Amino acid sequence: MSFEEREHTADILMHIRAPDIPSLFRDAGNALMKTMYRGTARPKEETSIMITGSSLEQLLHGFLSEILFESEVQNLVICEFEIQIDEGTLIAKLRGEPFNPSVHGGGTEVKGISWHGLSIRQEENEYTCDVLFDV
Amino acid sequence: MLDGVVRKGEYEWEIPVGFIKGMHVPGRFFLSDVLTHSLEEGAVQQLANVATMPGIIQYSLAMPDIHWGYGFPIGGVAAFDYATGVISPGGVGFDINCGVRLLSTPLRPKDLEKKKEILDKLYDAVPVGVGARSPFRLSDRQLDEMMIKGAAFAVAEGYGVEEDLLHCEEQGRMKEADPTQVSKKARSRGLPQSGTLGAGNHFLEIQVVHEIYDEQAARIFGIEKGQVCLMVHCGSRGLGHQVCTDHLQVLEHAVSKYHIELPDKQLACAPLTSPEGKAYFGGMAAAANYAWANRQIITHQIRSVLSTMCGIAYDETRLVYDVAHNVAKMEEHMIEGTKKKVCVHRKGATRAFGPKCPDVPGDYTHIGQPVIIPGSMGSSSYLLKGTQVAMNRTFGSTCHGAGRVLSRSQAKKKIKGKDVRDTLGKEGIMIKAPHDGAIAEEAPDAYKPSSEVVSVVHNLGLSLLVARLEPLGVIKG
Repeated sequence: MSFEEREHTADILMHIRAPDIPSLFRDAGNALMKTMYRGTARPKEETSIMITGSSLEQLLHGFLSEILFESEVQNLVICEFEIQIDEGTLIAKLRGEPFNPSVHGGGTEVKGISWHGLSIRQEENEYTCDVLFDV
Repeated sequence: MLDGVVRKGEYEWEIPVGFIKGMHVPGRFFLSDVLTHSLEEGAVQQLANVATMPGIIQYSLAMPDIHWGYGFPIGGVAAFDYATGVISPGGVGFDINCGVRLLSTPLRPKDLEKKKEILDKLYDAVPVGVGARSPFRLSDRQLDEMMIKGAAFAVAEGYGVEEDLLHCEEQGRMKEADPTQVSKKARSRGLPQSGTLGAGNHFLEIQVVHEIYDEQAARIFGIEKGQVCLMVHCGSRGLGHQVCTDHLQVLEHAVSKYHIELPDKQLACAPLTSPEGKAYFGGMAAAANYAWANRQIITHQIRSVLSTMCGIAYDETRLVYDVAHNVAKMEEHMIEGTKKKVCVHRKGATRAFGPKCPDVPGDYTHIGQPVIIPGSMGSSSYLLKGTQVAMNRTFGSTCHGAGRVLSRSQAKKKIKGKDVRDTLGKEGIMIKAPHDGAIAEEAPDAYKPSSEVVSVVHNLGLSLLVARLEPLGVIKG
């Protein structure tokens, strides 16, 4: 996993780096789950999502917003992301296990994924982005 | 102070037009010298960004609890001309109608011998933290009513008394609510969460009135020294968060459709008179109503616990007032001598309407609207009253809280939850929280001193001190 928390006074700012775009999205998803939940989850249940967007940033914002929604409504702690991106469409399989307060409790409620400063950059052999979670 | 920012008075600072490209009006913020040390460059930048938005009137304003957020700074206030201005979810935030309500009781601290048991019962009655589900099951029809009627829905369902509605901002209901602008996704998040507190800085606190500054106002607000009160801080839960997310996507396209130039994507907006702007406002108002109903249901739970544990009647726990501090409202304000319809965005700012203003409850009309300023966990909270000065200078607005100085990660590195629990325990303040990490994140040292923030708005006359409340027991979300 390649993400780290950067300083932000009010919210949670994550810096993510990965060798390719699907990995960048996966690690952004992991950063979101690690913010919301503690402990580890196993891939017991699966759900899938589809996002469309005219830019990688739109896809990333939509992807994270959708994970947040699925996790909250299905009460699912997601630990595996299988991501395919093709011409403005993202399809992902999300796997995880039901939220158990004694195992996964202790995280921070994320209210939304901010657009503030959200841009995906290519730097030599890797992609990076900063994502701000409103908490 | 940052280069380019100009001092305008003991507590006033200005960001001149030209600080960044495209500013239509100056930025103006209020800080004491002590508070300037914690001002972040990012917050000043965000205040300047707001000044570039179409139709902004007079100033891009920020209260003394200003800090770096997204879109607007937290503590930001801006009014937009109804005919030429815009509405933006970035000026409201994800937690639509996050707000505070203050309840008074006939109890004294000596009546709380079973304080631990009372806190335990409250903790059981009001679900808190990530993943918490409500014991109340709403039907789709009830959810619609909740979004249309707000707090009145909860009262009609038996969760309160009619008098409560008179003591809520907007009487607990924005009439512009349009549930058709609330997506299926938002509804599915809202259905299982009515009556839940949430997490982060949300709390339910047992407090005691420690000091009265304004006897007349306190008497009219029904507050006296030594009285036990309760304070609730929460918002519109997942429903409101999803309304913001959904409409941001629509408004992102509206920005190009209406040829609006913005320095930050999170400021996505649309003209107030456009279909997109009206759609967001209707959805936002529906979420705001959900939040008022949510705080009303929590109030019912508190009253039930106090009746059982302390032997007081249900309606002896009285709602002093309920304020929203993340919201956009259509209001009329005097602008250069003319009454104008404007959309006031308050993001981490509290309405502070003065005496005889519309929407101030009849029994409070000669005093002004109660303004509730929660402190950080374990520190003082304040009750103030709205003023004509706020009407003249800040579109009837004041601060909303202490304002963070440490990020959550810094707080967790520097502060141990157990130490905070022990320190506050020695002062007689009990804490209940889902985990110690939540306590560290919200520790008093992670915030500006609430007393300093409140003294700035008091000294400026943006709202005036009525009473100080100290915590006795805290339930942390």
